[in-house]
Parts: sequence; structure tokens; C-alpha cells
Amino acid sequence: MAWTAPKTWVVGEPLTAQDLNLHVRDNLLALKAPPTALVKLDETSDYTTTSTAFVAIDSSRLSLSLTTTGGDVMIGFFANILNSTSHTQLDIEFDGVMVGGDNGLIRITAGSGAYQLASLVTLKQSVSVGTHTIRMMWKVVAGTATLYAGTVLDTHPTFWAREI
Amino acid sequence: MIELKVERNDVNVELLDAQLRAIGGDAFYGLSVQRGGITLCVSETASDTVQKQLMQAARQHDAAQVTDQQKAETERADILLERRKEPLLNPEEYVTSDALLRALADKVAWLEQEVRDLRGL
Repeated sequence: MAWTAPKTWVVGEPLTAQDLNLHVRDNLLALKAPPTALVKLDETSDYTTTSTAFVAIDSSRLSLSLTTTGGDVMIGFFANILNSTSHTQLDIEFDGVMVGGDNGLIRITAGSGAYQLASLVTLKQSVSVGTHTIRMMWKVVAGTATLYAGTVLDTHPTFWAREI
Repeated sequence: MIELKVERNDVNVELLDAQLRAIGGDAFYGLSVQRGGITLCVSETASDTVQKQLMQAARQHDAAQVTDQQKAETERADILLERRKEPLLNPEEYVTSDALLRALADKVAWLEQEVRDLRGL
């Protein structure tokens, strides 16, 4: 259900069923079910990277398409990541522009043989009306990073965005 | 950044990364492996020739080969396995000891060996 900018009633104006349905009922329905995109990975293999420049983790699966009515968008992601020798950095690309920039939104500490929890939630403000593409990006400071999405750990990285 | 796609699933990431860095130098940022293929991350300053060489190397990469470091790690793991098969204590030194003391000495010797392994001694 699409959001409609609420009508301002004036004194003496009749409450019509058409207005009430459009501005009250439909907007409540829109608020109950805002534009949302979500993907939960359940792959047969994991992802790896050695890239020291930000690259999409999965340019097709971890790429959300969200059609918004204008406003703020909350974006979340979590996964288990291993980089035994160095750090791994995560960022979100929103319509081709990095949300964090520089070295991204978060850095996951290197762990010798131990995977770490990578988890982030961020708010993208003042998003225009229309369809947007949101991608999860990663890079390493050095070494090889593995994001578990296959059968080794059998965990399920999840990426979502919702207009709020 | 330029992303070059190569369709293949089998890859030794560390080895291919080293091979491609030898070709691309600073213009090669690294590689990513995802479903159905490899993405080579390359600087926009990389020439067409370098890009073609990187693509060719990625296609011809033999995933069965290993890096020197991977080979050394495998050899070290084999040595550790062999060491763990060796008896930890000289039984003759504990002939007169009771069973509890022998068990304790065995556990201490086992711990000593594991610490040595962890420290690479």
C-alpha cells in the first residue's frame, strides 16, 4: 500500500469515505507494511576476498532493490567473517555511493583461525522517492577474508533494508 | 576501480592472489570469489594488456597447486601429527611410581608438547 501525504482538513469540511480510506486507512496500512527488502543467504559455498578496494560481496544476491516513498531507510547486515592475518572492513553502497566512505562503516578484527561476528545497522537519511539499489561491500587490509554462507558453518548471513 | 569477471568455481585464493599480484603489481587490488565466478579488482590505471594478462592467468590458474606458505603449513601439520604418535614419557623412569602419578606426568608431558607446537618450537 503506497503512502499518501496526509490531507489537511479545514473547519466544516465533510469527512468523506474516500478521504478517510485514502488518508487514514491506506496510510495506516502503509505504515504497517513499509517498503522492505531482505535476503538471507543459504549457499553451497562461502565467499572470499583478497581485495584491498571495496568490492561487492555478492553483486546479485547481496544487492537489495527498494522502492521508497521518500524519507529515511534503515539498513542492517550480519555474518560470520574470518581473516586470520589482518582486518576486514565492511561498507554499504547506496545507489553507487558508499555510505561510510574511507575505510567503511566497520572493521572486523583479525583472529587466528577464529571467525568474528560482523554486524551493523545504519540509517540512511533523506532518501528520495523511487527505486534504490543497496549493496554490501567489503575489503581487506591484507590477507584473505572468508564470509561464511555455505555448509562449513551453515549460518545464514542476512541483509535487509526498510523504509521507516 | 574496474571489476573483471572470470567464470570458474575452483580456485586456490592465496595462490591466485599471489600470481595476479605478480602480474598486476599495485594496479591489482585483489580478487573476490562468489557464486559462479571470480571478480578481479583492478585499478583504472591498469593497461588493457595487463587486464588481459590478469584474465588469462585467472582462467589458466591451477587450483590444485599450493603456495610455498601452504606447503610449509601442510608439512608442519604432518610433523606435528607424527610427533603426537611418539611416546611422551620414558616408562622406565616411572616404574616405581603409582598409577596416579604416571597419569599426571603423562598429562604434563602432553601439555608441554602442545605448548611447544603452539609456539612453533
